[in-house]
Amino acid sequence: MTASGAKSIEDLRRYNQELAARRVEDDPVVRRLHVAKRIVWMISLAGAFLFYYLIDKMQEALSILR
Amino acid sequence: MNVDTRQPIALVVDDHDIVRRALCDRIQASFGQFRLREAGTVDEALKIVETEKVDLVLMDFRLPGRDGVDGTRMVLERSPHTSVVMVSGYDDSSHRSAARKAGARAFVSKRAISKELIPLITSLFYPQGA
Repeated sequence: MTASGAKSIEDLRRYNQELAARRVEDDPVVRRLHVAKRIVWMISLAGAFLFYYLIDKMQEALSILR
Repeated sequence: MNVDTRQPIALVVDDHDIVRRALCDRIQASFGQFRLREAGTVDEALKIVETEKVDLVLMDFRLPGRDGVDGTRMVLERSPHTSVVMVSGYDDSSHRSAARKAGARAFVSKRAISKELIPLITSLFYPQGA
């Protein structure tokens, strides 16, 4: 139902109840984006850790050689 | 008098290839007379110590499986004449104290190799000057 499709007070009340009961997290598009966001965050975290680790070992090796 | 004229053997124990290679290159550049051996774990190091008369061990603190503290202890049990120097990227008093308790001759930070390790090896093996 939409607000413009309401023909009576009862319809509007039902529409308001539907709106109140709706959770944005249940929307399939929002849920997919939420999962994608979490995956990107985890990949970034793992990549940053790996990159930091590689730089740390490179720095160790170079400071040994110099 | 029996004078040992053989080339001294140095064993570098580090699980990271790049760091181990760098340590070997640094030792080779400063002390060309050393014969070098490499190990990635304590178990590999022990096999080498059991088969050869290793004079110097450069032992990383953090190693997979047995760590450098255990490694130092086990190397010295098998070969008490060997000088073990613990080398680590983490330089703090607890690491230094653990190394000393395990019997290491010294603890050297990987970021102070030129300043600390090279003079230390010189004093251990060439007290009259390299």
